[in-house]
Amino acid sequence: MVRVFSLSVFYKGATEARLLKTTSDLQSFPFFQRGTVNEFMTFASRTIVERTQPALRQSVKQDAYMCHVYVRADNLAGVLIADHEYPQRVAHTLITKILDDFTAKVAAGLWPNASESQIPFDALPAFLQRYQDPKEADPLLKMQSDLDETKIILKNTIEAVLKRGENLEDMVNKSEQLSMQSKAFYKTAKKTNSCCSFA
Amino acid sequence: MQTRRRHQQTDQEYTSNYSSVPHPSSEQQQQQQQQHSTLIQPGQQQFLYAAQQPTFEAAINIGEAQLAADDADDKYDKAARQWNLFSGISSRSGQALRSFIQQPLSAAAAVITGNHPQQGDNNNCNFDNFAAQSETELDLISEPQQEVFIMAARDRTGEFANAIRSLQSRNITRAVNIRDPRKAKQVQSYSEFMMVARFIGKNIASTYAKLEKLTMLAKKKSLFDDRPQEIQELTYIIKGDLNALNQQIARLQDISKDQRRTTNGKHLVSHSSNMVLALQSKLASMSTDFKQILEVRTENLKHQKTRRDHFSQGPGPLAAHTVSPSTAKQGSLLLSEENQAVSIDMSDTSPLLGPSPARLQQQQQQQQLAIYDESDTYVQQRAETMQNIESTIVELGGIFQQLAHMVKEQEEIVERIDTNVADAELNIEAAHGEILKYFQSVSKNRWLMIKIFGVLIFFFLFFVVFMS
Repeated sequence: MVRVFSLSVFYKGATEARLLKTTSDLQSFPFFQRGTVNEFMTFASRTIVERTQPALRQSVKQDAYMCHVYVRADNLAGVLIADHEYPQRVAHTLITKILDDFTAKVAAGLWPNASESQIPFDALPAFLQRYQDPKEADPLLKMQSDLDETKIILKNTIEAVLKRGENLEDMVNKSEQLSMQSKAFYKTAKKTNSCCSFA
Repeated sequence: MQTRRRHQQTDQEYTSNYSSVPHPSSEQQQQQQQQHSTLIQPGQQQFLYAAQQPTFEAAINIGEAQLAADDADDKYDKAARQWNLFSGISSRSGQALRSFIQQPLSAAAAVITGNHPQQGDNNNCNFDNFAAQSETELDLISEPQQEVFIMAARDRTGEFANAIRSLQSRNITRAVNIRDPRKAKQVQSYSEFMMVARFIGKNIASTYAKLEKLTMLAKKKSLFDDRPQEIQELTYIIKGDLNALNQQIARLQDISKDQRRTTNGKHLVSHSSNMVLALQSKLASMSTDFKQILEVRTENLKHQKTRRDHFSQGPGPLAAHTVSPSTAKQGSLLLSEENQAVSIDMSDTSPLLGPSPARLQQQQQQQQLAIYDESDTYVQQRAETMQNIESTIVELGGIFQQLAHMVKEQEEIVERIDTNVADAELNIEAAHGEILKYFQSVSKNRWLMIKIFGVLIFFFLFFVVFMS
């Protein structure tokens, strides 16, 4: 099922990648493994960022996870670790969005040197929670799913209209019959009325 | 034709070189080639190249054999080369001397006729001061040849003079013989016309040969054997030829029009107009062929290009052409960065695969591909999604329309139902009224009937009671 495991923002310095902010959602792991998993993810993210050139997007498959990394031209990097089902495009869009947000909130001068606690970017965990659902993250995907829903609804509507058509046909026939019979009735009544003798 | 026959007669007396001189005077005017182009036949040239000590007898025979072949559009500097060759050979055979002598004389004649470019009257050269000029021309020609060892030991001026006279009189003699001046003029103009027409025909044939060569070149479909320069040159040459031919045919038409004015011979006029028409149609067909060839060539070029792209297309060009998907401010930066990413350091980009040094090279290749594909894929995916959304919306639009249509159709049915039901109601109301009336009538009758029967029964009872 579609899950995002961790989100991190790095600064890719000349020699190493500095972790600026990270957050992770490890609910699916057993309690005692969480620490290890966390460390592992941090390490993997850092390595990947160090090994990616600027202005490049990459998606790396690793055991059961996919790491999506995007290093911007100004050496700011975002890493998203998710499972295999999370669509790649959405992941990259997400990373881009987060990086933009980060750039807006945190001044660029802080990046090369600050440590993790100093960076005032607290929206990251919120992002993570929100973007567990890929539809939420990517407006394109959302639009696509909405449109698909609408299409299904419309299909149902058309079927209903077809059925209505059948019913209407039925009604027409019945009403025709009714009118004919009523006419016959009237004629009979008139005829009976014309000959007045009872005997 | 008359002129040609006369040529052949004279040729038996003189060498071929003399005979070849008079015709192409008009051709030489057309071609801004070298002056000696008509002299040396290609066969002769080959012979000269083949052997250091050429057999001049053979050369002369070849020259004679090429009497009828008036290919005046050789573009080689034959005369100049022959001069050099001849001068390099110090042969003392009589035949060598004779041919050696022939060259300057014939060259002189050619030069003279070539140096008098008169448009209308090709053959009415200034033969008066011809002899005087020939002397000077000879000197001019023989001067640059520094390596001439042996000069003429035989005096052939007599033959030369006869040749000149025959040249001179070729057209005028006939006119003099025919007393009627008007007819003479007719014949003369007619022969002019014929010569121009023949020249044009020759040009058309040569251009056609070039066109065929171009066809063969253009039809080649291999990627590597293409010779674009040749093809372009040939195209250019053929174009020039076609233009020149056009002009010549226009001139021919003018000549024929002039002729029509002066001559009264119906057949002559119709013949000339037919000839002009035939030449024009040939030229038109050739130009259409030329156009077709050019089209074929452009198509082939396109095919080649697509094949080349198909086989040598790498992710490189793709990466260079992708548009930056991210924010606008990063747009150009990203592009430039991607272009620089061609020389990416491969050893760092395979973090989790643990490459061994032996496989590094291969993986570099793959990595490079993968990286380009990545950036490309992301953008492509977005584009795909956009397209999907767009198509979905379009579909939805269609579905809505269908829905509306169906509802409209059903509206009619509903109206019918409405009418039917209204009819039925009407009928029933009427019938109801009828029955009411009937009921009333019936009930009225019955009351009366009861009364009458009651009275009758009373009387009956009364009679029965009173009787018994």
